[in-house]
Amino acid sequence: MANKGAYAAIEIDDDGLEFQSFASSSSPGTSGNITPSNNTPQSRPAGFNTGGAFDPHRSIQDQTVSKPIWSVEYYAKFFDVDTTQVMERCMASIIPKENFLDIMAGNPDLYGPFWIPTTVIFVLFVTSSIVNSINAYLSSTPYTYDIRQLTFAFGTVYSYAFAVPAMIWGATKYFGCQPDLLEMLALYGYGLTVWIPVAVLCILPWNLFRWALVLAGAAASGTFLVRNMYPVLSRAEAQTSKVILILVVFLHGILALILKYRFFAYNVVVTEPGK
Amino acid sequence: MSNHHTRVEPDDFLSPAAPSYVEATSYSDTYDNPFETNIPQRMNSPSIEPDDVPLPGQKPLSPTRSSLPKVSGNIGSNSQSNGGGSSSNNNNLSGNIGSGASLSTGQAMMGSAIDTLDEPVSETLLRDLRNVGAKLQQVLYPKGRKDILKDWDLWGPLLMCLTLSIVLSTRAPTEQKITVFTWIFIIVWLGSAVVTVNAKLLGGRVSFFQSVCVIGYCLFPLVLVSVVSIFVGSLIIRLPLCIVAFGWAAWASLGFLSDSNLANRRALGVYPLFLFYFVIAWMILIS
Repeated sequence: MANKGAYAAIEIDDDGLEFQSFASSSSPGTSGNITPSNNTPQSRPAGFNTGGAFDPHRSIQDQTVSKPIWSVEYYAKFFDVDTTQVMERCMASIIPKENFLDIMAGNPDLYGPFWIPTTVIFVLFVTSSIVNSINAYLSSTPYTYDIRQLTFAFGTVYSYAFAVPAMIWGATKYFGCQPDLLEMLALYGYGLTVWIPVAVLCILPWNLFRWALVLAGAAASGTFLVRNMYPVLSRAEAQTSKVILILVVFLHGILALILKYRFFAYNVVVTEPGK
Repeated sequence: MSNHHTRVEPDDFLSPAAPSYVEATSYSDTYDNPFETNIPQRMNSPSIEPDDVPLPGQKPLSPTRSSLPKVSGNIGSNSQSNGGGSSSNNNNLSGNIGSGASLSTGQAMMGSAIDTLDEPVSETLLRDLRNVGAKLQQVLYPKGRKDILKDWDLWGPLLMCLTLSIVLSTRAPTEQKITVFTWIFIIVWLGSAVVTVNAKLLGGRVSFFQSVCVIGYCLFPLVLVSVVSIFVGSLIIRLPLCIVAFGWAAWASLGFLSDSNLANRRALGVYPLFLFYFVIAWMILIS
């Protein structure tokens, strides 16, 4: 009897040891073997949170939770979107029908906020160089491209896409609006989408038409920003929220004017002496 | 003495002990003697002598002493063989590096098996260049060994990047040459890194340097067009060339990165790649 008891105790000990070693070895190992752990029930809560449980890639979010902040994998949860989702968000930012934060469904990504400004930068460079070359052709002067346009676009767009939302976030946080930095970045990033078609259409050489386009683009993205930011801003006092709202609109207007005069208006400036 | 011996004899165990003791003392005498006589000899004689004198007491020492020069002789001969080929010492190193870079590419594996110690530097460099050339050929005409680019190196991308930025900066307006060079350099390296990190973040299984290598090598059609456009100025020829090169580069890189395991977010990973090649193609077109 005593023997048996001892034997059982040893067995239990053994089990306990094995279990512990398994647990400790599995936590660092998850980065390598992603697929087997997908089917564990751990991935389900996140599936419910984000709304779509059908996507196997959605469980990236779970595996990266424990990753340190300096690793690349940590940021994978901010890129947890599908092609259709990104397209949907882009469309929703051009034609603001419903609340953008509802469309994001609590899953703000950084894919759009990074690649949309980058696209805008290069589209601005491409369209401005097309406009310049048309100018040069019309005024029969040899065309030389201006790489400083690219530098300027880079500085302007990135500072508007990253520095401004960070600033607004800081301000709203200071006044107790409980803003989400990711949502702010997403708002500003996706809000730039409208400038891509505007920039392409602004190649057309009618000045009034381009003014109308720029105004329409500024209005669309402006309303998009204000509408989605208002729920956050309204948590502060009426006075401060008004000030911040005015600041948002003011910065937006400045961006539109910079784009118009620096990138879309070249045609007028150069062709007038040419003609 | 005899008396003493006989007195002790009745004790059985002491009788053998006593003679042995005597013997031992006599032994120690014979042992001690040469040593003691040796020291005065050393002291008396000139200091050079004692080393060569073969002495019974030093016999165990002398073989090890004579073996010491032998060992050093071996070392010397080793270092001599290295020293004799000291100019080829560099070859040795670079040869190893070259063969290390060419690992796992079927035929190049054979190359690493060949002794690269004695080959000239030119041979080593040429082998690396041939390696780069094989990869470039693979980009231009993707047929057969797709895995050749799995074995990454950054020489090819560096070559592409430098060629592109030098060609474009020489064609830029004078005051913008440096800016153009900087931009191309930044776009190529940062761009390929960002595109790769983006694919990684989207959940794709790509190795960082492998992807950077592939993206860099796939610039080759665009680099060719940029070189051609030095000589051909007209837009009518350059525009289709640029479009073809852009399509070619994007298609080739897609082929190599196709197994990155991005299910329904493939377009999200591919789009930055297209943007990257498009911007570079555009720079070439307008330069």
